[in-house]
Amino acid sequence: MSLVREVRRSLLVGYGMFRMHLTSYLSSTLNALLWMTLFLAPSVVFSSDPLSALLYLTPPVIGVNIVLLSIGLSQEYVTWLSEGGELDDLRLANLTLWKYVAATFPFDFLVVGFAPFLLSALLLSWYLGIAPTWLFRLNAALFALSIPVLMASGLLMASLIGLLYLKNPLARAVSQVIQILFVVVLFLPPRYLPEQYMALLVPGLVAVELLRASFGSNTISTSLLVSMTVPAVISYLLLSLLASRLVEKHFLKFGVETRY
Amino acid sequence: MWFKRYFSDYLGLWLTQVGFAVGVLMTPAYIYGSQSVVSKAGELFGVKPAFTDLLVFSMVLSALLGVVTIIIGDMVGTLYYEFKIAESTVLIFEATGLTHYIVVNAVVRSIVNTLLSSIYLLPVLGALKGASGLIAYLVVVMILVPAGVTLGLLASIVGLSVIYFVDVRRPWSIAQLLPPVILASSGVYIPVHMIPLALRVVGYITPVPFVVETLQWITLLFNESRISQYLLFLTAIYAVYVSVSVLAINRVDRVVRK
Repeated sequence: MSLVREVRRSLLVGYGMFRMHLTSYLSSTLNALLWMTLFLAPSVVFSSDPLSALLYLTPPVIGVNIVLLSIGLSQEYVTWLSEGGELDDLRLANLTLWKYVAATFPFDFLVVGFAPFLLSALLLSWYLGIAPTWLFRLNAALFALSIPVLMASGLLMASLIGLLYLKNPLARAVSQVIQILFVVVLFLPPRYLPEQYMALLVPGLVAVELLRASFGSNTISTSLLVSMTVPAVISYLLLSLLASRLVEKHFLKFGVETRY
Repeated sequence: MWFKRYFSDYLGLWLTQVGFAVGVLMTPAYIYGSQSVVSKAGELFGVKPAFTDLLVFSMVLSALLGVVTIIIGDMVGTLYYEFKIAESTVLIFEATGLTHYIVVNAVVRSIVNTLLSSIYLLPVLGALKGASGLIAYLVVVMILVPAGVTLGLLASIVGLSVIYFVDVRRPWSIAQLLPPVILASSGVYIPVHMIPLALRVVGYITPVPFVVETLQWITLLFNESRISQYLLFLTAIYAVYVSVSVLAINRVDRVVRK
């Protein structure tokens, strides 16, 4: 019973956070959509088979946006929010970094993950004169399976980056490099892996491959992907809980300072 | 001084530009093999390029990314600072006119910004094409600088209207949204006619689509007679844009004085 109450409460909190972020989400969503179009349209145009290129390159938009957003959220939590006193309110309401990112996930997934994917898919189809009926090829089961993996990888990235920010004064530059690496790694189909199960090492890669698999353009075989979901979710969640415990310890010991 | 202060920003910008240029070609080359990219691009533009030619092409066009982003951000930022934070409006009205100030501001800052944001082309083109790459660099800069100046004038109009006539809490969000809108609607790496009409109309407010077309032809068919035609056409377009924007700024001057 208390679990249900907890979930309802965190949904409410997530909705409040979502309202707080709404304007910046909308502008950054539109921004991301247009930059992605600028990058994806020529890559699709220069490929010999535009439709399969669309299937390879548009599903990662969801994964990339969610991972980058989790990094941004944890950055916000450990650096900016302390300035206006919002951090005190959040911590009085018992919202740790982990709970903060977890509570905002459902709304973030729809607005920052799924909406840009849908819009960029439609925009690119319009650009290239391909009928957007390929969107109906979606395998709903695999798509639904990718959501918990995505959430777990987002939580892991958020707590790791939060820890990095608290421990390292140069974290801003380091996290920018990490973000660029993630964009590159998640957009390319993972043929560069020597062994397929090594996809587990990159948080988000399994989720992105599941999203690709739901459109039938996966490189890693579907059965292996499905069997990888359970270890992925469990290990990412455990690691993220561990990292967020370390974040909490740091907060209790040293507090936070506002940085930009 | 200026260059030194913003050096890290410019370094990030050059990396982004090179990343875009390489990524646009290498992503399809990675998935389908480089030969298919070459043949597909040749089909689109009606020429038979080598892969290095395509790399030169995407590198040169990436310079526009930096030019558009930096100039619009810098223009709107500077005007916002001058008129809202430092409040030097009265000072400017006493010393000269608003038109004079804005035009000089737009021209000087844009020229510097254009040169700085496209200077990464010098080593890249030198490495890819040798001595003829340096000539290509000069031609590209010759086209980019007037484009930068016209963009600077247009951005000052947008900046002034944002500052005086629109009441938004975060005006830089508009300034951040403009470059991707302009760039996505002029396509940059793909032929301009492939873009949907509704988007293309937005792009044609600025000179960027014309510059894109000219640069595409210059990089793909160097030493051709059609280049002079394109240059003539481009000069006419620049003249139209400059006169329109100066007239618009004159109007803003009158409105603000009232």
